[in-house]
Amino acid sequence: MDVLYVQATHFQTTQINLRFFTPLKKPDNTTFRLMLGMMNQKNQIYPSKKSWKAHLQTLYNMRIGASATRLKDLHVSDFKMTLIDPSLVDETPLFFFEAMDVMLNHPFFDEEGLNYEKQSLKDDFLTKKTSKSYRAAQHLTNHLFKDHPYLVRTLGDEEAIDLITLEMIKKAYQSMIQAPALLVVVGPLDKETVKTFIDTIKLHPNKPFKKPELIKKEVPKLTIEPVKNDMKQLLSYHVFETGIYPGDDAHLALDIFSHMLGGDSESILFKTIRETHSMAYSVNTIGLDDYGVLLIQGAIDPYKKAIYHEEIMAILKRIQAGDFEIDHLKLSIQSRMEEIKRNTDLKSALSSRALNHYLEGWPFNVNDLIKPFETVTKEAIVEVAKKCVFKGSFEFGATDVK
Amino acid sequence: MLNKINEKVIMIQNRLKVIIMNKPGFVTQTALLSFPFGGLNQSYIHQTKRIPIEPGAAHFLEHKCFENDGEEITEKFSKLGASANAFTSNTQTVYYFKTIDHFLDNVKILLDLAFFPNFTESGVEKERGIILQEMASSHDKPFYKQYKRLMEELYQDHPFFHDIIGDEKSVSTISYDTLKTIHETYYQPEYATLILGGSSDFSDVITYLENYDFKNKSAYEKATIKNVPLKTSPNPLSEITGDVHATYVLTGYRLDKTFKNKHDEYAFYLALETAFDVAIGNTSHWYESHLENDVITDSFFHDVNVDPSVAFVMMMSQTRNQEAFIGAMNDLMNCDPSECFDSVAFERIKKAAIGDYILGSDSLNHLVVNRAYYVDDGITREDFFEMQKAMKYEDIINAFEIFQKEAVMASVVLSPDALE
Repeated sequence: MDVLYVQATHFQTTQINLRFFTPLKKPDNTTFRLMLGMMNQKNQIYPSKKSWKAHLQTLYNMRIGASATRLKDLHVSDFKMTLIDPSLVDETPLFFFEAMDVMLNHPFFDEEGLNYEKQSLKDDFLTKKTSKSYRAAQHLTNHLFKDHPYLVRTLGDEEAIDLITLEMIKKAYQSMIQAPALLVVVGPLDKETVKTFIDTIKLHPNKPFKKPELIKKEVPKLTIEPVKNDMKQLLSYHVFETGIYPGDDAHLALDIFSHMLGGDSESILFKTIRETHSMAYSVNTIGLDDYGVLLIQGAIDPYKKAIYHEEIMAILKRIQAGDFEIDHLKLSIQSRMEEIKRNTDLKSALSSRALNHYLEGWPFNVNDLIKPFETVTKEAIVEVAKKCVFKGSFEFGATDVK
Repeated sequence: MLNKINEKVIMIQNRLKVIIMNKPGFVTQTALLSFPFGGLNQSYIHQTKRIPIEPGAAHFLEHKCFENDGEEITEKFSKLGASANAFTSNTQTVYYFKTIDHFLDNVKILLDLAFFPNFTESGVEKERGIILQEMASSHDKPFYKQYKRLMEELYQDHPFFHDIIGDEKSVSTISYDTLKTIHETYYQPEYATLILGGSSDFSDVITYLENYDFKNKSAYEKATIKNVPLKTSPNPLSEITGDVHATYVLTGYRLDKTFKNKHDEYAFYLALETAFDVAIGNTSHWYESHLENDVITDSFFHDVNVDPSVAFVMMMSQTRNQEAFIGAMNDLMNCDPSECFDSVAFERIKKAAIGDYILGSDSLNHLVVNRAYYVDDGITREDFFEMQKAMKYEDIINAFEIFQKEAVMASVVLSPDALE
């Protein structure tokens, strides 16, 4: 197992992420979601949710939990614990470390637990659906990426829940525990103590980690009907294929382009759509970088949808023609760089930075990381804008307002 | 040994309170300027008369302080490497920025935008549309309707009934003149607190403040928040439908209790919060048995609002058995506290609070915002921690018994709309 260690003594807590990488496929996504949920609830040492949570309270409310994310075409089972500096409460590190061993190596998989987790996941889906933006985003991405290998949701699939058996859970656990793993530690713990942690969790000999390749697929033309919902607003999504992926030369310029267009309160969309025309309270860009897609999303006044669309297309045309101030570009670059610099105070950002250094070879040192942003030129932004191909838009909510 | 935050309080020109929170090791520095004017402040005093203000005015003013004669001020912060924002709570309006460089220059912008805003009548008109869109965003959430109904039952004519953002009528009515008047009333340095957080000693900022030309004192005065008692007993159970896919029950409890001083008040609510953690938290028998019996689901949460001015307890869960959920809430109001609590759980939860306290120390933003939140009541995060440490088992039983006797309860069931 590879270990990434960032010692930061000004923090009083340490964040540890232990990640296992397995292939991303159906119905394993649902099996893994249920398995990780079961591991969060109980284990052989603390065989009920009540006893496990009570134990964590005695560890000074230690945060420990498993969740699932995606890395290209890999499923990532992420075991995260945040523990306080043991010296602050006159305890030994081992006092806290054993919780990870208990959770990881002593799972309690039984029919009762599986049924509970299945019901819990079904309930969770029902609650997620109360969010209109969740429903809209699901509807959009299901159409846009329906054949894409990345569209295997780590939250699981609602329709697959009842098909998962206890045997599948146990098999998934075995494959996870032997899969390539990566440990990232950020906080005041010293190197020796981190070694003690690794000894404590008694990890199986894992297969070596092989970095996944990026899968590039053309984005189809978006042809979906608007979805009407009894709402005051209209959730509007404009889809642009950029054809630019992480690692591409133009990716840095895409990052700045996206920020300048809809990244913050200085962005062109914010200033035009919100401040000038009062069409929306929120409007921003979202980069779906793995898919080579840039989204513009707005929660807008439905009476202004026609002018909203015209305005977005006009803004893009202006950028494509180089019709924007160089000062605006400079401000966007500066704002992105400052944001990254300020993130140095967040353990989660340091953890991600270490991970990106390992996976993508990005610099860990903040000055080295932000320096390339200074090289982004107006011409590069224009080039990125020209690459943006409009694939269509999707509307959810008050769609019948004229 | 637990590290306490090294803090210094300085009075500037006998008018503005400045709190310096020293946090070594962090690269970011932050400044936060807080005024005691929030959603609950719906009046001011002029020549001893209480003059009403439309709900949502504090939030509207927060938006407009970022205008400088038609221009957005956030750009000035960005040019100096800072990220600035603001929020309005029930009792405060707060402006803040965080930055690594040019701290003093950013402080200058912060002070000017709050003490000398330069918004225009046309800017006010434009902002109205933006705020109405912000309102529409929250009204489109199904749980908003449920929460609003609960407020109707429990808070009726109390200012807490109104959303911080106001309503369509009030936002359409708030004028340029109103905003100017309430700014003059509430944005006085005597009422404000400036918090500076980071690894610096901020001596250059203090020197600058000593010479800052604050405005003259106002002819208006801030008014206390009115506590309007319930006129009619709330409907204990209301049922509504919405665009949801399961049934959700929201139960609220209003508690109008007066205390000798703020310390006693917060100590009481902290004890009450701990009582709920012990009695119905996810390590309690109550939680475990109701989860097993489908009365609640994993979505269950409870919240004791330990806020200035309003005491409000809320519980919510998705349920497959709404009658049983309501029954469980009623049982809680009638249970014998000696049977709902256990001292082992109490000690465990006190230990958990130490962990939470340490975890919070790693975020400069959390420390500064938390310090501002209770500043007008003279309570610090350390005070809460000391209260928690001093809390006895009897305190939580006592708090819970008072709650049982005095709290007024109402529930709202939100079920899926009938299929067409």
